[in-house]
Amino acid sequence: MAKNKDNQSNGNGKRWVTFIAILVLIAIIVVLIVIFIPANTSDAKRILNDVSSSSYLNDEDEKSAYQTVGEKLSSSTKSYYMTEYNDILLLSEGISDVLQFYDDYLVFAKDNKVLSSNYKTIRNNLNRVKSSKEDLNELVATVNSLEEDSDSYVKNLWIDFRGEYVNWLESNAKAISALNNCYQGCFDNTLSNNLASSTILTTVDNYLTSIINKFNAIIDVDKKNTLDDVYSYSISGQILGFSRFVNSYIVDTTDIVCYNFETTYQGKYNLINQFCETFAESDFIVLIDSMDAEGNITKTYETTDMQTTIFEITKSFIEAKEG
Amino acid sequence: MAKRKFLLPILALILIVGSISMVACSDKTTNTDVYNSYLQTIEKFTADTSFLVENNANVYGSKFYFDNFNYKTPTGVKMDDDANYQTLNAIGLNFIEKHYDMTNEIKKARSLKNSIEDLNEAYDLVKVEYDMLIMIDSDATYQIYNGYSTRYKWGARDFINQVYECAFDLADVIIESGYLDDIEELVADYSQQEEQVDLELWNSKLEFYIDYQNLLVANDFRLLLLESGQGQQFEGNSDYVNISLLLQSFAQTISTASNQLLDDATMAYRNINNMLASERQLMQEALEDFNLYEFIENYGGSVDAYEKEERYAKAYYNELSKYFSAENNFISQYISYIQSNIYS
Repeated sequence: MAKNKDNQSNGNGKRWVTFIAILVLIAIIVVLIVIFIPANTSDAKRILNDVSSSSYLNDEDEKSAYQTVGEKLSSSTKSYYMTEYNDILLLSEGISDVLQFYDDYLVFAKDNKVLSSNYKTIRNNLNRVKSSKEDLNELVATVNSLEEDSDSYVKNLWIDFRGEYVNWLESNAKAISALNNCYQGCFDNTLSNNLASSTILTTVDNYLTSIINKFNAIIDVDKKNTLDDVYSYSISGQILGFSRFVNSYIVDTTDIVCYNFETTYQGKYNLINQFCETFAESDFIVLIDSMDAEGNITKTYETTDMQTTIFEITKSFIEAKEG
Repeated sequence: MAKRKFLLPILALILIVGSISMVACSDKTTNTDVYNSYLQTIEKFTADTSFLVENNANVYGSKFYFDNFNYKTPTGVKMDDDANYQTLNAIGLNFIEKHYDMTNEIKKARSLKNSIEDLNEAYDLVKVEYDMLIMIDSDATYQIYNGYSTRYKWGARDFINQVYECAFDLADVIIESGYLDDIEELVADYSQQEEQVDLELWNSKLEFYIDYQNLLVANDFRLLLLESGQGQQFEGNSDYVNISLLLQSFAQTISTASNQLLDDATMAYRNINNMLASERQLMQEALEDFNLYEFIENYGGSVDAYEKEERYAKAYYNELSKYFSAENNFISQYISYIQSNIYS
C-alpha cells in the first residue's frame, strides 16, 4: 500500500513537472512573440523608408547607361521602339516620385495591424524590385561590351529589357498598392490623410494596373523571331497621363493639403467619388484604358446634367492637364 | 491576545502621527491664492514698463514687448533684434493675461502654484540680464554686441519658454475642468435650438477655444524657432525667412478684432483643429530628430548633407516644410482659414 502511495505521488510529481514545463514553454513563446512582433513592424518602417533606392533611371549613371540602349535602337531598323524607350524614362520618373512621396510620409507610420499586414507584401515586392533593377542594369551594361549589334540582336535586347522592366514595374505596383494601404491605415486623423489623398493614391494604383496590362499585351505578341509588324504600341497616352497626374497631385500636394481647408476641394473630391456608383464602374481603369496618345480620355457615357458634371470633373482629374 | 493588546495602541499611534504629519505638510494653497498670484504677476509685468513695454504699432498689439531688445552691429549701428521673440512672448503673455481669471472658479487651479512661481523666477533671471545690458549700454565706450546683449537674448528665450509652459498649464487646468466638454453639444444646440443656447457662455467658451488653438500654433513656431533653431537668426536661409514672415502674418491675423465663428463653420473649424493636432504630432516627431540649428549651421541648409548623419533627415525636413514653409503649408492654410472665418 505504502509502495503504491509512493508510486502515486511520484506519478503526480511528474505530472506537475510536465505541467509547469509546459507553462514555462508557453510563457517563453508569449514573451518571444511580444518581443519580436513589434520589432518586425518597426523594421517595416525602415524598409518603407528605403523605397527610393528601388527607383530606376533616377540617377545619372543609370540614365547614361540606358541612353546607350536608345542609341542602339535609334540607329537600327528597330527604331520604332524609340517611343516605348522614351516612355519608360517618363514612367520611371513618375514611379520615383510616387516612391519618394511614400518615403516622406511612412517614416511616421504607426506600428499597427495595417502596417504589419502589409509589411510582407511591401518587403517581398521591394526585394523583387531591387533584384529586377540589378537585372536591368546588367542587361544594359552588356550593350556596349557585346560585339554583335545586328538588328535582330537589338530587337532581342529590347524584348529582354521590356520583360524585365515589366517585372520591375509589377513588383513596384504591388508594393505601391500595399504602401497605399499603409498610408490610409497607419495615421491618425491627420490633415494629410483625407478623401483627396485616398482618391489620388488609388488613382495611381489604377494607372499602374492599366499600364501593366497594356505592357503585358505587348509582351504576348512582340516576341523574339516575330515579324516587326506585330508590334503595336499604344501606352503613350497612359504614361503621359500618369506623368501629368503624378506631377499635379503627388509632387504638387496642393489638393491634399488644401482639402480640409477649402470647400471647393471637398466638393471636387465628393463628385469624383460619386463616379463609380453613377456609372457602374469599379474603378477608373476603364477611363485610363481609353486614353489616346495625348492622354485624353475617349470613353463616353450617356449622361444627365448632374452625371455630366461628375463625369467631366472625374475626367479632368484623371487627365490632370495643367490649367 | 496579550500581543494584540500591545500592538493595537502602537498602530493607532502611528496612524494618528501620520495623519497629523500629512495635514501639517499638505499644501494649503487655494485656487484663490493662485488667482492672486496670477493677478500680482501680471500687475508686476504691466507695471514694469522699463522692461516690458507696450507696443501697439507692431503687427500684434501687446503690453509685453521686451525693451531695448536690440543689438549694435560691429560698425555701431543699432539694429532691432529678432521680431520672432517679441511676437511669441506677446502672444503667450496675452493669453495668460486674458484667461487667468478663470482660476478663481476652478478648485484644481491650486495645482498651478508652481507654474506661476517658475514664471516669476524666469522673469527675475531675464531681468538681471536686462539690467546689466542697460548698465553697459549707457556707460560703456566699447561695442556691446556679443556680450550682454547675447545673454539678454538667452534669458529672453528661457523666459518665453516658461511663458508657454505657464500658458499651457493654465489652459490644461481650464480644459480639464470640463470647460470645453460640451462645445460640440453647444454647436448642435445652436443650429437646432438657437434660442435655448446661453449665448454669453457660448461666446466665452468659443473665444477661449480659439485663443487656445492660436496658442498651439504660436507654440509650433516657438518649438521650431526658439528650441530647434536655438533662437538664432538665419537671415540667409529662405526657409527661416519665410517661416518668420509666416509668424508675423499669423500675429497680424489674430490681432484683428474677432467676428467669432459663424455657427455652421464652428464644427468645420473644430475638425480642422483635431486634424491639425494629429499633424502636429508628426511635426513634433520630426523635430525630435531634425534640428533646425544644426541643419543650417552645420550642414549649410543642405538636406543631402544632413541625411548622411541622420538617415531620415529628408523625410523630417519634408514634414516640417509641409507644416511650415512649403507652398500651401498647413500653417498658412490655417491662417487663411481663420482670416476668412474668424478674423474677417
